[in-house]
Amino acid sequence: MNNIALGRYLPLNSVVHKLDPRFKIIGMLILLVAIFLPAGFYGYGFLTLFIGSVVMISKLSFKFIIKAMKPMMLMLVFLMVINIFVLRTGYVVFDIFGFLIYSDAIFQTLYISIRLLLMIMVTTILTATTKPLDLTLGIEDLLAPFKRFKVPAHEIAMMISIALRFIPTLIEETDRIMKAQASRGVDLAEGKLKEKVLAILSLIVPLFVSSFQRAEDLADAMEARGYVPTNKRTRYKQLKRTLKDIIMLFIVVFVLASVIAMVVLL
Amino acid sequence: MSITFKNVSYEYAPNTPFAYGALKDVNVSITSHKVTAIIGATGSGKSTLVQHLNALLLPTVGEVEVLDRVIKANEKPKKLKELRKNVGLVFQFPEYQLFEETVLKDVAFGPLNFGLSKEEAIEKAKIALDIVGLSEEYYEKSPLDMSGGQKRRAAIAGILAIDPDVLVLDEPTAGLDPQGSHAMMELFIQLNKMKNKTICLVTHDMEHVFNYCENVVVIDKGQVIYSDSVENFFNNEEMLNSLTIELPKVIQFKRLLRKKGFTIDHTSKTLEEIIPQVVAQRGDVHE
Repeated sequence: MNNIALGRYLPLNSVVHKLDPRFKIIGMLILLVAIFLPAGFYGYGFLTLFIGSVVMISKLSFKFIIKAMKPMMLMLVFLMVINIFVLRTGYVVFDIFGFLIYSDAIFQTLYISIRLLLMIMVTTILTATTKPLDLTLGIEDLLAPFKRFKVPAHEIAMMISIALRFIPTLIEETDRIMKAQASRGVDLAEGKLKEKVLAILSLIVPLFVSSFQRAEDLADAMEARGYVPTNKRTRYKQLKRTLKDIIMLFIVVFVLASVIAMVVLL
Repeated sequence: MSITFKNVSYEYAPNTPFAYGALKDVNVSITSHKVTAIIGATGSGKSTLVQHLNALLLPTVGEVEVLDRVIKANEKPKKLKELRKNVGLVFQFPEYQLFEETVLKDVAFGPLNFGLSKEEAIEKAKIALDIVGLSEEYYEKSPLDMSGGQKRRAAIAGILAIDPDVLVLDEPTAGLDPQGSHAMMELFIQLNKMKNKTICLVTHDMEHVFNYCENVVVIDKGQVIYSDSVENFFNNEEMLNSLTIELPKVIQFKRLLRKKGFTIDHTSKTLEEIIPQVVAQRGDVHE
């Protein structure tokens, strides 16, 4: 349970780690737009090269990225299967005992895979190089202009940061309850369907009970400290933009522009 | 048939930046049919150690012999259920494992999992609830509506109902009032005396170690640094001084008396044994 890599912060020391979270979030959004353009073979090659080098600059290992990809593998296989059955255009690539696999199905799957891979790379760069708390501060600041339209920026940021804060706690809790029930003979791997349902129940019920308990305790603790979400509050940690952030933004915009150019020209 | 750790090491999250060695080359045996205390500072690896006893954690290096099973590193063990039936592990704050609608059903959950019929499981559950002192009126209650101490009892009954030969408890008295924790310890001693069960418990309370346990294992930074009988442990001044523990009242009292020049027998464990010695040595006035 402790080996989940997706969304985990890695405390390393790199240029990317030190960038302003607000700019990193904007940069990520711009890159995501670029990824979703139908950029074709060269476009994706260019993006992969660029994002790959950002991974290197962030001092992240590709092993970590691959690990973050793992939960998506099943989905990719699923997509592949659906594509092979549904897409019947292009020329025939394989003929397996009369079952035809078309080129479009394969290309489509490849495009989706590369998009997913790039998306996960970009988001992993963001979450692995930014402390969860800085991330929520960034989100809060970016949402601040929408306050005029009654968007509760601070509340949203608070909810996100609480959710992020409790992910490791919940993982730990799940692990603990699983072990406790394993000691009582629960075996999630074996057994009949009825036993399995009961096994899952024996995990979920205690997890819910303790989560509600925690939520209540946290609410009480916040109230006891006089927390009122609508109050105007100052902030201990101030985000500062530097020249590096501006340069990063320029580079990302340049990448987006190049991809657009490739879509239009090629 | 005792439990033996041979050169056991355990690492959490190996091959990641978060890798952490919780046990380092542990060699220790736990004698059958005795009450063994495992003590050590928080984070020293006590909980990691006890989770090896029913193969919830598998050693990264070395091997663990439990009853007639040998669990080796890099070898996927089979039929763990059998082992877990014989070694019951009660976690810290076990009340969080309760999930059924009624106490009786929850306690019967373990025996049912280990293949008993419904009637047999209910029978075992009733016996276990009786042992922990929860009477018939609690059978149909929801475990979530009970008090903390009662929940704890119900959860421990959930393991007792499995009727394991070895009972492992991770801080069973944490968070209980003195009376409750005393009763809980009495219960374990009874199980050891009456049913000849091997009891292994993690604790911070030296009074419990002193009054109830026979052997003690001291663990520090993932290594076992001491393993002997409780009597020898509390007479090993050097060892006691090196640990940051609060000694049992009687031991503190004996120390103070020795400082005043009295010679107190090493084996005396109670005030009743100490007082005559003091009186004899003063040899005058009082009484």
